[in-house]
Amino acid sequence: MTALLVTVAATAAGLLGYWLGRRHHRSRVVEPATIAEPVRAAQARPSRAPLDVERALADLRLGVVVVGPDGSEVYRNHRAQQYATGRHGNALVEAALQRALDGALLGLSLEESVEVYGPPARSFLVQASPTYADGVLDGAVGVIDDVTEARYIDRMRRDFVANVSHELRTPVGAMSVLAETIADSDDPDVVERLAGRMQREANRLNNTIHDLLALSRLESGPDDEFETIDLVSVATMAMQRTREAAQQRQVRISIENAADGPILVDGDRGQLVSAVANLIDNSIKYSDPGAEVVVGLRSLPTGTKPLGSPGEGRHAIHHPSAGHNDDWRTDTPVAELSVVDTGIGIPDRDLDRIFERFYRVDSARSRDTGGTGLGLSIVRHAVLNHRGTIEVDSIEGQGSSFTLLLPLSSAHGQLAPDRSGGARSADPGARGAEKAEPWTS
Amino acid sequence: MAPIEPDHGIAEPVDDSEHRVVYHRELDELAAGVLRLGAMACETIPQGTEVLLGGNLSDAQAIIDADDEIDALSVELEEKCYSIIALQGPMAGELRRLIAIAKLVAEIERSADLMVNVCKAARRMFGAPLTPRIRGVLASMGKESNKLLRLSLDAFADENASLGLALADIDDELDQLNRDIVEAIFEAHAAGQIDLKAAVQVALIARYYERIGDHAVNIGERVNYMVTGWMPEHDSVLRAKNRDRPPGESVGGASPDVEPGD
Repeated sequence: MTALLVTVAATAAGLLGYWLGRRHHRSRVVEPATIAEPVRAAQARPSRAPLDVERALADLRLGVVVVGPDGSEVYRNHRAQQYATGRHGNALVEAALQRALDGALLGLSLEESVEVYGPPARSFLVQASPTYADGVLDGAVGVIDDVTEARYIDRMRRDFVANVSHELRTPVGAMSVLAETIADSDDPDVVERLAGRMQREANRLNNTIHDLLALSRLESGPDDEFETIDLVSVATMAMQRTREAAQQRQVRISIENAADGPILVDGDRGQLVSAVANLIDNSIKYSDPGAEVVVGLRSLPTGTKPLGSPGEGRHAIHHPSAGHNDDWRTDTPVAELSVVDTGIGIPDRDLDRIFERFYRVDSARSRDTGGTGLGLSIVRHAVLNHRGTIEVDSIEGQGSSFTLLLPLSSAHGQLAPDRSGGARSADPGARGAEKAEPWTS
Repeated sequence: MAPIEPDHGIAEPVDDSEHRVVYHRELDELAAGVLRLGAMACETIPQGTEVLLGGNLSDAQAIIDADDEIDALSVELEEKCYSIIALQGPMAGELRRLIAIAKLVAEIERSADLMVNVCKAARRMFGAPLTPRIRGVLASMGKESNKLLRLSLDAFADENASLGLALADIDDELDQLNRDIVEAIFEAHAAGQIDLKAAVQVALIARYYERIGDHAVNIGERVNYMVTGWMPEHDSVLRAKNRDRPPGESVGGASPDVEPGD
């Protein structure tokens, strides 16, 4: 990063040096040596060299601005242009750049970190350094670097290390203390109670390890052998798997199938069932007794966008190879599965982090519910393996909705005439019914 | 290049290209300054909401301190308006623009003050637990008021009069949230989940957000005035005049030259 900045600064300074050199008909090179190179090259081919440098700067992923000794702008690359004419967050970045350039013209090398809350939230690093010709300050070069992603990854990595050690150490530490107490205790009641707690801690550790292994299997990429499966049956199986938890918390689960028939996708049944079951399980945990969790299913033909466009309060994780989200949606027929609850919801600032491993919105509460903190990571990876996307929409206190979008199987198209012919009209999907027949291909 | 004439007070601007260049650069800088001020004020909204819902007190102090910079910039921009009006003698559209800017700078500055109020209220009720529903409505109010202020600045930057006027309707959402919060407070109180002090603070905070929306609507109206010379208040002026006249002598459409007033 620093090396890159130095190179950029050197290139820009060289460019500036060339311009100034041409203006003053000077033939001496600018110190230090790294800056001298482009200048020499420029002097050898005076008509073409500056264009090449300019083009290189134009394509750079950094904003570069060069100013003369009076602060007037000599050069601004394409990337930096958006800040000059910008408003909102960009206006603040530009203001920081101007501050840094003003300082640089006084001979200072300045660096400022700019955090824009947005939305969208972004982080920038703004730097400016003076440029010299023959030891005389003759301008300044400023650089704007959008470090949003780098900061995000840094934070994620830092939190992950802290969280994973916490998740593994807590049960081990508890077991060790419990074992010590048992060793010192003669009371059979106490021993029994403590042994029970040890077992619970061991179970918790076991669950964590189980989920970690599941996650690493998922991370190794998609299975070679995808079969054509019905998403309705996936939802039904996931619902059956979570039935006990739902009964315990007195939460009703229902399936609403708008497609009135099977929805075929190519995938791994096990992965999809466990992903959907994870989502339903979460909804159950964070719903009040008496609430309802609705699993919605539908298929969207080519050119149809799902209801609601991504915006504030909505976050999406997409398959990297699927390209831009809207393109993916408009060009491909999509199967949509949503899990909607009216539970406590997710605070805004946690929305884009809940898919991280071991990330917990409210650590005290979610550990009580017995989760490993890996559920949504597993869902995310399962969906990515299926070339799909997952979106979450949530308002604290009103509930959450998780939506999986998966490409429809090519077999689904062949199914359409059959379905409209009424061959399966006897089974109108699984609307609100637990007795829905799992349909298999 | 002819020297700049000293008689700036005359209504017709001097036909001097260098003079015009300086004048237009000043106008551009002024507009950029308004957008910068607006960006600073907009930023305080998500920052302040984060303080409110996350409870970070040092961030609260940072927002309160940063308000001084916003005040300083707004004073600077307002004075720049006056000095351009006094020295350059702008006419018609440009004069309206400068007057509109002088007015809307105050609206932006006031919006930032309201977020300072939110931070102070958040400190007063520090540690009081809020129900998820109250938190959710407050978060939505933060987003909605931020959106309105941003849209009003977009309307200014693009000189989009219709967007400026549409803000009054877009603001309905925020007004609805202000009613929701009252309901959420009652609900929390009935369940014994909020104490009286916190309830009062929450109601005040909601009111602050709602006021930011109103300021954004005012900015939108100023933008519309800047572009078209008409403000909704002109209709009121007309109605008032017609009330005072005998029937049959009513006054026709409002003149664009009517002084802005509220």
